[in-house]
Amino acid sequence: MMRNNNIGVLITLLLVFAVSMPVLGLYNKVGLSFGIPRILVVFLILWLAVIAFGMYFSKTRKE
Amino acid sequence: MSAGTISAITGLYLLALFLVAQWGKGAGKQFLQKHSGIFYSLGLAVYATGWTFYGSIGRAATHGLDFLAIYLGPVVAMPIWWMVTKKMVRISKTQHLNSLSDFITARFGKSWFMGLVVTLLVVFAITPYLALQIKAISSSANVLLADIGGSAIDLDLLSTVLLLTFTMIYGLRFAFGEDERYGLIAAIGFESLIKLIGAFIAGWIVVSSILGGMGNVFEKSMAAGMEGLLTIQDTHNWWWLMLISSFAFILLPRQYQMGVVSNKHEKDLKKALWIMPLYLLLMNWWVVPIALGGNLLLDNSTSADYHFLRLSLLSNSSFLPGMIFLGGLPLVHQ
Repeated sequence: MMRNNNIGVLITLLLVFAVSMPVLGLYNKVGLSFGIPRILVVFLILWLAVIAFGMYFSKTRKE
Repeated sequence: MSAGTISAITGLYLLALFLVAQWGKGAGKQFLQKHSGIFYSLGLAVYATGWTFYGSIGRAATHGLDFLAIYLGPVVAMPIWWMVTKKMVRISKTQHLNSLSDFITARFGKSWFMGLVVTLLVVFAITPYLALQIKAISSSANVLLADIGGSAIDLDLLSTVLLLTFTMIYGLRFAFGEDERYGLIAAIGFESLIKLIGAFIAGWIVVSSILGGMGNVFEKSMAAGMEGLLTIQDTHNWWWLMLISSFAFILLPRQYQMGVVSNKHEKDLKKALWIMPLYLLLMNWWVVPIALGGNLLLDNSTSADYHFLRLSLLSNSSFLPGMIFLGGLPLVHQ
């Protein structure tokens, strides 16, 4: 039950992130951070978060 | 690049695919079973077609970051994919379902009429995909042959015959039967790796040696007034594209084949939860700099889809364009 909640929390967080993008105006963040366009930095963080979650989940989940 | 070099590269690649498939159904079976999670994940990479290789760059060069929705959709939906696919695998294994039409008709009393409708819909749905692959092969060969005045023969027709012949010989040998299926899994894994090497390693070489590094490209693009290409231009379409892509990743016929029918162990699904997003990230890593670099350095004589190949030709060697051409050659994936 606890582990199913992990998936639920992740899906909720991803949805919140997805909905907050237009609200926060992330689509039009022009400019560079660390030499990379800011919007790409945001996407990279999201992408890496999913990969990290997948690694954690595949190591800890027992079925 | 000469027509002979392109033919030799294609021929050697075909031979390598057959050898890998033979190895997979014979001596390599144990290796594939031991690393089933990795090969299962590489199999799911059939999602990234020849269009991923060329079309993403073309779209990034003309429409900015909109193309990312096609990959972010499945990445964001990975936890849902895991839950849905796990159930589909269980149902398919219990009821011995081997295709998407089998799966859907099984939910509707195994009606033959439903099977016919689903099969026809699948045929109609995959036809544009096949057309894109054929176009990707013929157009990329045309770009490589441009310096010797193009091809004297119809490359669209030649690519169609190549894919058709390959599908008939290869499909009959490796698509049916338990052992033969291992051959298919090995070949698809091999092709996914070649595609990744073509996109990531060749992309890294092009960006670092021809474009002067990622930071340099972004700075020059901003200075050239291309900052619009570093935003999402159509937010309405962006959401629909993300939604459709996440459904496509779960429901496309080829995804069903690789995600459900080819699944040997349920635990492999968990490994795919991170390998697949990582694969898509690496595939797309150099797309934006290559698209912008192409806009900066190249003229408009060909479609922006071929910026990658045309930039590689500036290296004055056959190795880099050959590597990219192979990466965009979707033979087993189809």
